[in-house]
Amino acid sequence: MGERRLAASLAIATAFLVSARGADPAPPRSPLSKLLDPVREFVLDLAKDEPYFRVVSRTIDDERAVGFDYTIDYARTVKSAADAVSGWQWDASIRSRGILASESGANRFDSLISEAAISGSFFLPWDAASLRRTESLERELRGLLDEPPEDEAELARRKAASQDLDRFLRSLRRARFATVDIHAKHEGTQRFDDNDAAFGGGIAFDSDTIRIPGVLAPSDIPNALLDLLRSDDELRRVHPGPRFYIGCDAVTGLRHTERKRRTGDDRNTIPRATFQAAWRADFLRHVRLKVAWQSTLEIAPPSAVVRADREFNSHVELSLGYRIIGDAVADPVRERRREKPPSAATFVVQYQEGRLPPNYDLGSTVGIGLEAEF
Amino acid sequence: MAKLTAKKCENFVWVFFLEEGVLPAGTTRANILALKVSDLALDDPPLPGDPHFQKKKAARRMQIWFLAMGYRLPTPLPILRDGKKSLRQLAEWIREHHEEARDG
Repeated sequence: MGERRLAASLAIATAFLVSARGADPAPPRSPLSKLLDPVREFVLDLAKDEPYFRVVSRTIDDERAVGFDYTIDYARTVKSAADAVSGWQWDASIRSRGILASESGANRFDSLISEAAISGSFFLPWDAASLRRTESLERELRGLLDEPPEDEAELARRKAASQDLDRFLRSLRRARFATVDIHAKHEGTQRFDDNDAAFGGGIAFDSDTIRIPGVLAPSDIPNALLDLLRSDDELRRVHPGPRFYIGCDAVTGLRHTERKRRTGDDRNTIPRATFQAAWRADFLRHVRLKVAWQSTLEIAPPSAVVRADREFNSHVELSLGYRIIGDAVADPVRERRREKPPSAATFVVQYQEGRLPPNYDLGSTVGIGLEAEF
Repeated sequence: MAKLTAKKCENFVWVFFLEEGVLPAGTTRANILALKVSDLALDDPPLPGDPHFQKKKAARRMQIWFLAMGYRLPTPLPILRDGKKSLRQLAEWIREHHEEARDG
């Protein structure tokens, strides 16, 4: 039933896109049509662009059901920053992610989240003056493009030899970056039997955004340890720090979920806070470690929810990947011949545990599988 | 002021990502352009609240770098969001889209 509804939704969406593409613009344009123009352009762009579609196959549990994670993502910049140093940029996106299993009853993480969001990003330079163009800085940066360094060590030497270049790159690295968003989410199960909707906003940032100058950040410690594991031919990577997201939502439609049965609370709408973190580190040439954590906290929950231990729900995912097909490094000969790069696949061992919306059933799995991109 | 040559745009892609620290092991000047955007360690795993956070940050840094060289570059975010694009395509896009910053 759920699959049929999904197919029907896709058919309706396709028909809408086709009709939107084929429609002739009407000569007199009402204020409403002017207002809807950006929306229409956005929809036409969706029809034109290929979506980003990523699949990770894996076993789901002991019942040998197979399953996969999916991510579908359309995004578009709707307004660029007028000033790259200090302006705001606005982006719109529609995305869906979830875990599907061949047997929906075997899906321990039965959660499909579809979301529309508008986000604005801003940059807070630590030392904006050193990012601005000066004749000497321009000369140094152009010199890097005339005679680029062969490796990181040479780049470091070039920075040490030029105060302007060093100040610019250090200031660029220290600049604090964050994004804020407003969003509407649909949180459902694989068969669409249970679902709710969430409306809210949040802020995303990384460890550089909250770094205190002169103080060692906690993320520097694992990075320093991983540097000890790097092989000789690896670049000395900076290992970008962890990213974080804090948000707040009004969640409604809870009577269409298992909430009442699990907690005894009959409310249809609740306030909810969201916390997320993600981090990746690469080491030993082909190995990569990924950590993703997400949690929700019900704000001012009734005692029934607290007694049922459902006010705080979290989900953690640890993944260790080893690239087995396709070298991590591109083949320049193949590229010169404009040949398609060979398919790449990564063998992944993954552990995940926790609860995901809408029903927050507790699951714990160890999965093995292949990760590929299309 | 003339636009940057194709070669210099390719060199920019190398220097920029070398400084960003997101290149896979074994990347050199000779093979970087054959890499795909998805090979870079950007937004992996994605943060559910903003799956393009690091790409947005890298795109903004790229624009600031160009501004400091006296050029205006529209946001390269659409290229960075497309994991299938190669870094050669990114360099070509930069070559095509950057222009002199009249207000410096």
